[in-house]
Amino acid sequence: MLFVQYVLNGLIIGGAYALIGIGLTLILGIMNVVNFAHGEMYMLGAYFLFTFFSKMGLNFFLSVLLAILTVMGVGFLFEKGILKPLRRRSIDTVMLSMIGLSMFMQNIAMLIWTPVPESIKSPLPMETYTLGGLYFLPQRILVICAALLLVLLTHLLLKKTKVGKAMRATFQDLEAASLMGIKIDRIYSFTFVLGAGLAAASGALLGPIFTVHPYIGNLANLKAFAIVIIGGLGSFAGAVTAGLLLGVFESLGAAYVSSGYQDAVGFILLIIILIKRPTGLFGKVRQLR
Amino acid sequence: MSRTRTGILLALGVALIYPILITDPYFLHMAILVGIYGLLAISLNLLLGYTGQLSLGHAAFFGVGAYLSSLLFLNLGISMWGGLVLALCGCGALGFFVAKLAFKLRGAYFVIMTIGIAEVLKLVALNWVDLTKGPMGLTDIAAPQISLGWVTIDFGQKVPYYYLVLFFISLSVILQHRLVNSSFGRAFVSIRENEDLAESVGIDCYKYLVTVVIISSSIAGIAGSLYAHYVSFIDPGVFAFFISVNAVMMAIGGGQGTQAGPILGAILFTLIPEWLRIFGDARMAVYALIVIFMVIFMPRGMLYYASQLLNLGKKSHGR
Repeated sequence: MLFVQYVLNGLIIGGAYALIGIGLTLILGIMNVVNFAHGEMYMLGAYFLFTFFSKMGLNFFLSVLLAILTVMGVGFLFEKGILKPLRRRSIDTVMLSMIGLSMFMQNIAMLIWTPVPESIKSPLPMETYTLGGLYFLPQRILVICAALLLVLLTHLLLKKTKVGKAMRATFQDLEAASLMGIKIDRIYSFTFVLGAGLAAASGALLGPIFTVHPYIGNLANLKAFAIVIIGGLGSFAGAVTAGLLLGVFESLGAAYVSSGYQDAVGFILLIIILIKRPTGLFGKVRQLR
Repeated sequence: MSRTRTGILLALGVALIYPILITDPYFLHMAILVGIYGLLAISLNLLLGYTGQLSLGHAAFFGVGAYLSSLLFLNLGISMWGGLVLALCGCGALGFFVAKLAFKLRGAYFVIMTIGIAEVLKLVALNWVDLTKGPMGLTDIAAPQISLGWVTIDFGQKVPYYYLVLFFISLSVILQHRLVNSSFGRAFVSIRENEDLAESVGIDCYKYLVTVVIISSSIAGIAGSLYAHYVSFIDPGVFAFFISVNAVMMAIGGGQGTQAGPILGAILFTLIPEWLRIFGDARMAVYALIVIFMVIFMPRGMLYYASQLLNLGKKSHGR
């Protein structure tokens, strides 16, 4: 029973991981940008929730929504201000700029919110529900429900809407998509803002479970990269599966091996996948250069 | 060629008399750090500048070199000379395994793989408390002494240590020079310019890439060992992502694929964080802006722009 509980806990955290991973895999697959500032969107999501909810005393759900929207705005500014002028530059140049941007945001966050870790008190009841010998904390139920809902919405967006179709077309063949009259620039902006929003949602959902400090983005970002590669570059289903898998393996690793190595699980999975199946679980043949 | 040679001799001359001209311990300290990070930048430049493979996990080799050398000294009482050899061999071996793993992939995959390896090693250093004392770190890592009969050189002093670091820098510059101007170096550059084409004319790219990582990681290991015995204290922070990023910035900011670039970069990117102290808490934010600025607007590195300014023309294998 304990084993099932660990798997369940892992799935809950994994749902939030999947959200960060989806955004990163879309940005990498569609825009060819190795977004090292993606983890900072997660961090900002958590911090804006802290500001709106814990500091300003707004309604919790409204605060989550506002936090996501604010981060999407920040993402829009970065896309237009930094990424757009760098469109024709090499992938390495863009990647290093994003590393610089990530350092910049961490330090700005440190100036705004101080380096002292903050905790967000969830307004949901703190007592656990028991069902069939398993324990459920309301905040964690919220995380998994909201994560699944967002994954579903993003899936529908990609599959059913016109902009989703345009995004998939851009991923498959940039030039052909552009020739068919798709405004690549707009697709890029949309993708980046969507990714930022998903990462922020993940941060806002996990914020009340973990503590919030300016450097939480580092680990979140590295895990997101692991998810992207394990799942296969640009693969939506891959990112979701890998996110959930990572959550479960981390939970089991912490329980049965050592909690100190919990954060290494992602990289160990990553290394195994890269040796056995370099294109990832759901990988396409297209190689990223 | 003669102008380049004059430049090298001039730089070496200045480096040799520096401790005589400047006696302020702070500036000597900065010079030693420049040297240690310069070694790391040279090692990264071999990989990034000449073969075009970006590693963002070079702190892995720096950290392993530091830990191997310190543990050898603290547990077995073997001095830094043994530690340097162990760091060289240990990091070379680690580099071999990393290259075997990571060069199944290129581009962004390779970058993320290198970061991942550094992060895993950091977690090992944090959690293997019996060996590494975890987050407490290792202390009292002393520098050696040499007795030459009538005089004893104590490398715990700054001036002798400065010359020791200068010795290793000179050694690696010579090694780099010989390597880059050999058939090896030409193979490296061909891999950087077009790997498929290089492969098609019979260059075994995989073999060359593994070789360059072994050389690069060995030099990074020596830098780590020199660092540990200089500051006499290390903690898992030696594996920090920031160290890897800084090394990349030194190589790129100075001039990747050039021989003097990494040293110039090491001088810049060791001193810039110091100068930025006037910004107080906003120091690292300003530093990040400088990083972004240099990556976007000066991709060829300071060396190139400086030589343009002095109208010396290109003397290097610059991109």
